[in-house]
Amino acid sequence: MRQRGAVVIRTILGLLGLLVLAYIGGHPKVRRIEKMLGVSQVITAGFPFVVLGILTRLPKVGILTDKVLTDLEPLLLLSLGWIGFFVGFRCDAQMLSELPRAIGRMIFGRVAVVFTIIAAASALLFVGTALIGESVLSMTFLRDAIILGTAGALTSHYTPRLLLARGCDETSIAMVKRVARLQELAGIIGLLFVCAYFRPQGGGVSWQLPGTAWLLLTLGLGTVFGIIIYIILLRDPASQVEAMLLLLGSVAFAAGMAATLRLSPVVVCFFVGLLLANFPGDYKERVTETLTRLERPIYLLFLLVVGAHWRLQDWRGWALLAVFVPARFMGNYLGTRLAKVAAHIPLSEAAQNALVVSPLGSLSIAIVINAQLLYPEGGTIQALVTAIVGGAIATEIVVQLATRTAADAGIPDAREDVAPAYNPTLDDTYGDLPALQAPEQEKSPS
Amino acid sequence: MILILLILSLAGLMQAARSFTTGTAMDSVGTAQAFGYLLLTGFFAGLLFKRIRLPKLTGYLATGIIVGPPVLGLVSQPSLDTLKLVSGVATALIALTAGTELQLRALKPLLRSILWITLVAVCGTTVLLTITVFFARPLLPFLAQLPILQAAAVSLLLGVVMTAQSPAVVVALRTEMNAEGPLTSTVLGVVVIADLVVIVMFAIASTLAKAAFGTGAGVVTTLRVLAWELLGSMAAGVLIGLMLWFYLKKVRASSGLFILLTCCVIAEVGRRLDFDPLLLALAAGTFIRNVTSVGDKLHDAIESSALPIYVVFFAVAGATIHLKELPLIFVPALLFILVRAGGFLWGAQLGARIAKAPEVVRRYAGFGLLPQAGLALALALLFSRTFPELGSAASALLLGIVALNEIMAPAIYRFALVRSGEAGQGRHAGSAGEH
Repeated sequence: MRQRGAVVIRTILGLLGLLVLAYIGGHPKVRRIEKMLGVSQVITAGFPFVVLGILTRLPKVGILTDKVLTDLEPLLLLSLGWIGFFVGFRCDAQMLSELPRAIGRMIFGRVAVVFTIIAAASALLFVGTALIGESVLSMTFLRDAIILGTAGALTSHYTPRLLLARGCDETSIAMVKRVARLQELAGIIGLLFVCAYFRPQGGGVSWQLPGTAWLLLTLGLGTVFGIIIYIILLRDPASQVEAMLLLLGSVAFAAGMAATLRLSPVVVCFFVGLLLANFPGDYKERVTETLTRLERPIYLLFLLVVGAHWRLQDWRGWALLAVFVPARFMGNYLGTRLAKVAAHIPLSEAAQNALVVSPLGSLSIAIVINAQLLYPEGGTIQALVTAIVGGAIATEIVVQLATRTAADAGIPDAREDVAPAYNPTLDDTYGDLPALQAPEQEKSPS
Repeated sequence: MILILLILSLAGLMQAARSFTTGTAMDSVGTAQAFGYLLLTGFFAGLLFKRIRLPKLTGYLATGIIVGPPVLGLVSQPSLDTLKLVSGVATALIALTAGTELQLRALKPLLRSILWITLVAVCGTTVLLTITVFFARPLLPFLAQLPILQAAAVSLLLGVVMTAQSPAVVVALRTEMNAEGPLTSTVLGVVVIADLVVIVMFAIASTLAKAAFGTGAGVVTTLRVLAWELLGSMAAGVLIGLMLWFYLKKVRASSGLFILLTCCVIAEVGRRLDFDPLLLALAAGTFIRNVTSVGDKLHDAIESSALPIYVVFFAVAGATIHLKELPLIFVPALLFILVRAGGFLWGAQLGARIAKAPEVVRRYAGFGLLPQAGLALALALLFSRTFPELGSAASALLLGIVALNEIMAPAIYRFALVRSGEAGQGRHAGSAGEH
């Protein structure tokens, strides 16, 4: 009876706490204070949900128990698939064909430099502190280095906002947007490579195939689902809720199938999204509307579960974080300068600076969480989660400080100047959310 | 044709995935796939059923039955167990919707009909079923051996469980058919009140049966448990209603997400606290509709996003039907189904006549009482857990009756809604059957 009473009290307090947080979070005065303190982007990016996940996972709170987390694993897979689908759906062939040829060299150079520096810094840390019990030449280390390097090399779609804050020219903004998008492609390729050539071991898997076969299987699965979902979406749904059902079911099925085959839901759903973005049909507007409508709830729930899975007590993650964030900035700095020189891309100084301090996007978090699901045996994956999730929060704060410095220097605030020019399209939504949220935020205090 | 091809393609992919794993791995990983598969296949099956003038809901149920473990086995039992979280959320959402439908002021003219139909049809059918079960003992081996007193107590308990109805099916069909009118409102009122009545009667009958078997707890303990379940659930429902009101009034943003999280808490924590999640959510919805001004907001927020959850809920319900038990208990199950249907149809007619209800209510209200789903399943499982000495046959009988009613009754009630002329008369007139 006493135990039941305790659960009642905890539940009521938890719900009231959530309610009060939601109320306070949405209050104009609080938003003004957030802005003054320079934490509004961190809040808007959904990171309080990570904290909520950590808190509700605590044994004393006992809401997200092991059982509930297991039950919520499908949600995690759905979120990963959703993020992959979203990234793929943004890549239309027209956008790629309009790119200057040299941009490929630039992106390759930048990603390669960032990747190498992060991997090298991590290797130094591992060797110097014997953080893992294995040699740096082992397959596990190689796998983890690729995951960390791939996730770290990505640039958030929030980056163009930094340029807006600095009053940058439109050409540079468009260029940075494309760089960010193509880097996502590099991230997907990295994850595809890891999933194909570093297959998870253990029971429950009856197909034994070489790595290249898994790679082709991933592409084939993405294509098959792309075609089936294309046929599904060609049907004209009677209502918006039916359109939502079809997309939700399609992504969940594709992501679940990928996870069942121990492939990456992010990668498979990326290919589905990519095909759907480039097939003919009048469903695209409907899909865009549904994606925009559902992205925030799914992303916030994803962050909640990510928070619950995050093992804060693993000190190795914090050590890695301390190395990862500066290494990423250094890599970004060198990569951007070198790539600009090598590729002769007309990037302004402000654009280069924005790329250097760019935060980690949601795809980076998705990559590391996908790896955690694929390789649950442990190793250094937990440390990678801390490095990437912690890194995402840390880089978001750095960006905020950089934006404030620009504002202090007299450069007009992006949200005042540029917000009306932003359309809530797939370019700006999800994960790297502030762009979509900003105009709404600024209207409410008045 | 395309729909059938799509259903077959999805089934082929499920079968391919099944060949990949060695059995143990199709647990939580396979659940996301099962969720997507049930959602898509259930939805397409619903469209096919609509074309042959059957409820979409029957299509969702049929999907679950065919792809579930007893028939094709494309969706595994561990996946279904994990998807029960969705079922819990769906139950809470359905009850919340039912609560927002219960506008007491609007129901006032129908209150007399609702109470009389509940009294005559629901309580009368319980008595009728109890008597039938008692005298059908020779057909039921697990009852035939018991002394008279124990047999009578178990008969009463079985009678109560068989009486249970399904607010979930009634609400889902009302939404699907976009129905509105005295029949729809009366049936909804009756099934909601009957839900309460059945829960109370089950608690009382269970106590009596335990006493007859010499395993019962004290009267005070039983009353305390009953009070906690009923009054506690209602009080918690009002509290949840207050919170939802505050959120919808003051915060507004992402209300769908907040409602979903609240339903998750109702389902998970409510169960752990021995509350009745259905009653709790129902109280919350009724409170919001009748005491606050945000009833429409809540109703619209749920209606605009609940379809995926409903589809999976009914597909999972179909997949958990124990088909293999059906041949063993077919004859007595059929007898009780006929008695139950007769009791409800004549009882509702009589109750409506006493209450001087409109002609449409008199003729068709009984059909709305036929469907069974969540509550009946829960009570059947509770029964088998409480009286394991009666063996699996008793449990199979109850589950078989629920299964048959679950399959047939929605189509019958759909037919009644169409015949009554209330289909398509709802708020979104002109879009009947679209949801």
